[in-house]
Amino acid sequence: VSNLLAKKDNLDEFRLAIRAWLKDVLPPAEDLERQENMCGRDYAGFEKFQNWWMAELKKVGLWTPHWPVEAGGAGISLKQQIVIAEEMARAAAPRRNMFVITLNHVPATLIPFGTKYQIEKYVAGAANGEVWCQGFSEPGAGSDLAGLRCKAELVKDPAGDYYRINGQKIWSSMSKHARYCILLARTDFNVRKHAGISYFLMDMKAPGVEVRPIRQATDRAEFSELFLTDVKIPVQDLLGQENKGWTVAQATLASERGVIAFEDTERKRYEMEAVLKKAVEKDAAWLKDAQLRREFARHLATLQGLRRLIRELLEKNEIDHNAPTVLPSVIKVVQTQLYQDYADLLTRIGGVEGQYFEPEPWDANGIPGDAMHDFLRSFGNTIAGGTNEIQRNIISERGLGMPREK
Amino acid sequence: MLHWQAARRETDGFKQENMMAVESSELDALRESIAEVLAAECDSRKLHDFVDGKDNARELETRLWKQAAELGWLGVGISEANGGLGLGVEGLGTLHQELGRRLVPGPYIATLAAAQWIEAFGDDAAKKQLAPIAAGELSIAVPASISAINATSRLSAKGNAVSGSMKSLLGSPAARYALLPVADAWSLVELDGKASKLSARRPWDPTRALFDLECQGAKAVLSVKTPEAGWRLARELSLAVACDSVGAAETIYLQTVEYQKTRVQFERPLASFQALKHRAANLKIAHDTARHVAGQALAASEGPDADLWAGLAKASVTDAFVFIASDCLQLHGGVGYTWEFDCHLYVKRARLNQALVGTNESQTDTAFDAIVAAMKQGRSTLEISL
Repeated sequence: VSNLLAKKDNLDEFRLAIRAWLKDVLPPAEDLERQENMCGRDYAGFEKFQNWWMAELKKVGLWTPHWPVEAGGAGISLKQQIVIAEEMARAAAPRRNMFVITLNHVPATLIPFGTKYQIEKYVAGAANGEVWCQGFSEPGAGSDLAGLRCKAELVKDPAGDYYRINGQKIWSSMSKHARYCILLARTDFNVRKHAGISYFLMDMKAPGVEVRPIRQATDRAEFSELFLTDVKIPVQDLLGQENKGWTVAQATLASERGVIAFEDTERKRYEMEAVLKKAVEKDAAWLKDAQLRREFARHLATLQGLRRLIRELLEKNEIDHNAPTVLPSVIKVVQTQLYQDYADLLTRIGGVEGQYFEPEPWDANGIPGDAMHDFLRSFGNTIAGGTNEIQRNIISERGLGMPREK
Repeated sequence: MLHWQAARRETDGFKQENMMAVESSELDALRESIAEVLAAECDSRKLHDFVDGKDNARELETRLWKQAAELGWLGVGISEANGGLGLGVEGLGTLHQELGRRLVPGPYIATLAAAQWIEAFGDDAAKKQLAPIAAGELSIAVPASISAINATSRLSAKGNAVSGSMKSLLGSPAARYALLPVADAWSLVELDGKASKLSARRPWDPTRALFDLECQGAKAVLSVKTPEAGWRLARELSLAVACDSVGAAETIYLQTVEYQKTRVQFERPLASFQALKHRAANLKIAHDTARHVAGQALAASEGPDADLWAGLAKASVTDAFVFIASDCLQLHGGVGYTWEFDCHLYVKRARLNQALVGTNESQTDTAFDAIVAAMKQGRSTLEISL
């Protein structure tokens, strides 16, 4: 197999080439599912699996195709990205969970704000598969991110000036696997809270960095707390200017232009269809329950509405991705609420047999794997990435012009 | 007295975000021209006067119908060959959305759905009636509920003479024809005022006309016996009701947000309270989803899953409309409960829309069965073409 991007200019051929390659390269579905399930449980196994997938993607040019050419990507169009995402979803190909920050946030932030040194070292490293995590939230700074207190002090040193970091970070996904961290810390405590924040590129192997996984309600640990004690970050690893970190962080937070939500929702579509198909094959009892049938059908209607909502955003982005819109917030709420409601339905369909920690997959109720896990996990989505309550603030203030909270 | 005027909103700032996505500039032009005319001709004041039967205000309905004909709106969905504009379901969807936005009174949904039905099943003689429909010269009534016809229809035929009764028709009491379930057929029955008698009823939604029919030897000018005939009528009505609901829901929720910005309590506008801001956000979230569910039905309308998506969209969108309109009434506080504000008109439209065609539960059941049937044939009902 050669570089699939050679076919990118004919979308139909590109699609078929990706589809054929995926059919070839992917292991049986059970193996894939088992390996995906190592996430947050078996760190070494999951890392190996993710790195295997990265290597396969690299072989065919699908590792960083969406990056700009000057950063080592292929600068492919949004439509081409969508074709890739659709085929990944169709094939239930592995998610690139370990590399979300690496593949999206790092280039989106470092390319516009990085020095030559930073881009050459870190963007190139990310392209090679060095894993990045994000150190933004703190125990005292969640929705109110700008209230962060992690302290960064400039220290003059003949061996090279550095910032001394002390503080604590939380909800840092995949940081057990990370080589580097995009970090926000406070360099000035005497100004308006947004004006005293700086943005750093931190080596996770530096002395004083301690990673403690957080045991989730799902009994997995996908994210961790970071304890930072006298960590030295060389001044050349300050990204952008001192105290301008909030502006830089906006680029990080805006890096997602809808393609991730798109792929995720397309995956949900195939998942819901597979569940229904299995239920029909097994003539599952719930198919005869009017209430459950109706809920399922309505979720499919919402799914279609959501998929079209995401397409509306993508179309807007293609015209002008800087145009102000609250659609990403609307999409976030609709998507995560649908996932939660759908998992809620499956949990009820599952009955007592669905209440075991490791239920039999595709049991008599036609429930795939673990609906209880999915239900609990769904709160990760309604809370992470700006809680749905914060999204409602954004929708009402920026979308509907209602006054800001004082 | 002028509260409702102060609360009227100007939606221009929201237009781009809140419109159903359309591709052709032709549809955009149609949308803008309809919106412009209705903003002037059917504003909140005129609508209230119509509802209250003030002076000559009842003429609003006939005046708008005439204007709609002159501007080509009534021929939007009718093919060019039959004297229309040939803008298809997308054009019709646009029209119904704009009519819904202003709660325009008139037999649009019934007549235009029946016209689509005639396009599909009519013989040459029946199709000759399409040009007069586009010209606003005649309207057609239909059963308000298709799924309830076993209970509402007592019609039988001898040859082409139809007799019996039917409850709850939707349209205008001045309808020239009614599309009716007669025995095992769907028949286009002439209403001449002699062999047929219509008696108006008083629905809660004062912007729509419902009535009962009695006939003795009324003439069926066309009868169609395929089961598709009933499904097709249900589909056309469902699409229209869904689009009507999208437009109406948007008006009332944006109007409510604007009201909250002007209403001051505790020395601050209601719109500044987070509990209310989140409610407003939920309205937008529900509406954004609903307009795309309606979009799904329009996009599917040429394919094998047209009936299923029209029915499921009608169920989903009208439920959203009931939620939105009801919450808007509540969010207005006391004035929302008054006759002079708009809220109750939207709640009533939402409730009627929810009941039209069939119960949302039965339409959802039918859709679920169709999804499963397609799946058994190895076909997905969820494809979206890029």
